[in-house]
Amino acid sequence: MPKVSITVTVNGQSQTITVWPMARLLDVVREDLGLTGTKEGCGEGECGACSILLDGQLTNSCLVPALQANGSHITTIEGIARGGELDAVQEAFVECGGAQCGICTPGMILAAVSLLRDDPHPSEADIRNGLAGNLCRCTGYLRIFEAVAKAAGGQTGGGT
Amino acid sequence: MRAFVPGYELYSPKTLAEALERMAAQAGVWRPFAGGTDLMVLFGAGKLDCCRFLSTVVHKFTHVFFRYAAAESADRGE
Repeated sequence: MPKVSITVTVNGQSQTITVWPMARLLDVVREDLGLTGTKEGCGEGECGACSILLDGQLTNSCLVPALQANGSHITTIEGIARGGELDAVQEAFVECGGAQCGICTPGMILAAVSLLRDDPHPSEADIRNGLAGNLCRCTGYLRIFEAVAKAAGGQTGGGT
Repeated sequence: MRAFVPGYELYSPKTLAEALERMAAQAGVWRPFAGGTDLMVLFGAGKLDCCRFLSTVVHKFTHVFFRYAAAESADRGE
C-alpha cells in the first residue's frame, strides 16, 4: 500500500509530510514531526495522554489515522507556550505541583486549555468533568484540579 | 502497536459518488471508515482484519454514506 502526502498546520506552521494513511496521528506527531511532548499511554483512547487539539477539538491522537488529519490544524503541548512564556495553565501546574511523573501532564494541560477556552470560569464539577478523559496515576488529581482553578484566576463558577 | 501499518490502505474519496463507485467496482473490498475510535483500537492490537478502507469523515457525507452502507448490509442479511 502506498504512502500518502498530507498537509497539516502544526502549532501554526504548515507542513507537508509523507505518511502511511493508517498510521496513528500520535506516531506521526512524535516520529515524523518530532514533537515528543505528546505521550502514548494506553493506546486505546482511555487515558488521554496523547491528547492534542485537532481543529480546536480535544482529541486522542492514538485513535486518529493520519489521513484523516489532512488539512487540519493541530496544536500539541509544544504549541501552548508562546514566545518562551508559559501559558497560564502551565504556570499554574508548576505552582500547584500538578505534575509528578509527567506522562499525563501534556494531555492534562491540553484538556485544561480546551476547557478554559470554552468556559473561562468553570465550577469544580466542570473542571472534574473537563478532565475526566485524562488519567493520572501519581497526583491523586487534587493538585491538578487546583491548578486548573488557579489558571481560571481562582474564579470558579458556582454549583458543584 | 502490533499492526503492520503499511499493510492497510485508507483512501479519502472526494465525493459520495466516487465512494459508491469504488465500493461497487470492487464489492466487498472497500469498507467505510468513519471516526474509527473502535477500529483504531483493533488496529493497534493487530486484530483489525486487513482490508481497504474508505475514509468518510472529512467530506461531510458520513451520514449519507452510512445510510447507504446500512442498507447494503441489510440487503446481505448482516
